[in-house]
Amino acid sequence: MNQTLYWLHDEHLAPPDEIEEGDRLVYIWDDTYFDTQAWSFKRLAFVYETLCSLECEIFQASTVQAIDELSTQSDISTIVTWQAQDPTLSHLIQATQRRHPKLQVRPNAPLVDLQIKPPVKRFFYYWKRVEKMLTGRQNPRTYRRVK
Amino acid sequence: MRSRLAEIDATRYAKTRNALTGAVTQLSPYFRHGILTEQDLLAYLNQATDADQATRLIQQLTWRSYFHQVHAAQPEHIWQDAEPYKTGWQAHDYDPTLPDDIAQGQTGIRLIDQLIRSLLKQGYLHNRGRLYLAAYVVHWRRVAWQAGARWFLQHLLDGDIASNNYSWQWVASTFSNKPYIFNLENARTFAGDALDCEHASNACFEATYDQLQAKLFPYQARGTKP
Repeated sequence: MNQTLYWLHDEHLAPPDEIEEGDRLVYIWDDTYFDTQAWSFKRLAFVYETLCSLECEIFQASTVQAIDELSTQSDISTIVTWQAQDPTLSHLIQATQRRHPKLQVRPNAPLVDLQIKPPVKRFFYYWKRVEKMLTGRQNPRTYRRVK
Repeated sequence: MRSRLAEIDATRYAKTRNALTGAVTQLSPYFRHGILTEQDLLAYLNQATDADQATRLIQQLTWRSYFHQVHAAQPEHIWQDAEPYKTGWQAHDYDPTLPDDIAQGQTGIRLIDQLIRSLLKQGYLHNRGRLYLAAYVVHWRRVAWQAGARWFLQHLLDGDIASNNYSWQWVASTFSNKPYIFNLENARTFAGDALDCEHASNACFEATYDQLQAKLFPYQARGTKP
């Protein structure tokens, strides 16, 4: 009853560092979701090959129904996934979380928190603020737009 | 997968990244799908590479992080023009549909069709190739950036909506101060053997930037089309 089910999605195709023996890695191959995304076969193949390399369980199903089904299994105590930036995927995760309040949706740590708020400024405004933090120095030659 | 980081040559990247044949990492699909994280790359670069050599690679990584955070700050805007076009044309002057000849890579313009073939067959384009193709779609064909962005997302293995859409807007000028365009001289400088720049069908790019500005954006000087 202490297994954690890690629900991977296409923005997080990696096992978490803290995964333990007995925990499950699951990917739900949701045809409706992929129809909405309209990805090429090559994109789908990339996702599939990655999943195969992870040796993760793949269920071809509706996402919501699959999480419904998996959450009733007695050995699973926690379901974990990660925030997504794609609106379609993000809505899917939110819809699932509404049905399963115990679903943990973990944030993705940004490289550096630029504290961006509308109205947003151009890239180089932020780059000048974070460059030293990331590279240890400031180099004005990096402040030019590509030609 | 993290072993692939050891293949990065940050020095060659810094020197050659702008060329279509340059030593780019091609790790973007792995970042897109969370197989590698930006933190993985930063940690590797800080440990294994001279800071000066790593700066350009870290800057590209920061572009990605920046676009993601812009999107997070205003997620409802991801398909909207962030600002008006600075081309003299208005949003309704741009075709909302991608023409078939572009979608199929049959424009008849050699270097453009070569780039489209790479997009369709490999699911990958060098960043400069993306800029060329986006500029052609938006500025030469006057197609709305949204149509091109949707097309890229269908095919690019690293297609992520924030980086993709804001990069298209950067080219279009709805998220930058001026439209990005290129000429054949620029392509000759950066394409190397990757594109057939000398083919006669590329003639629409054979001009100075001033000539192209005048041709593509005839109303730009007075703000918008009358």
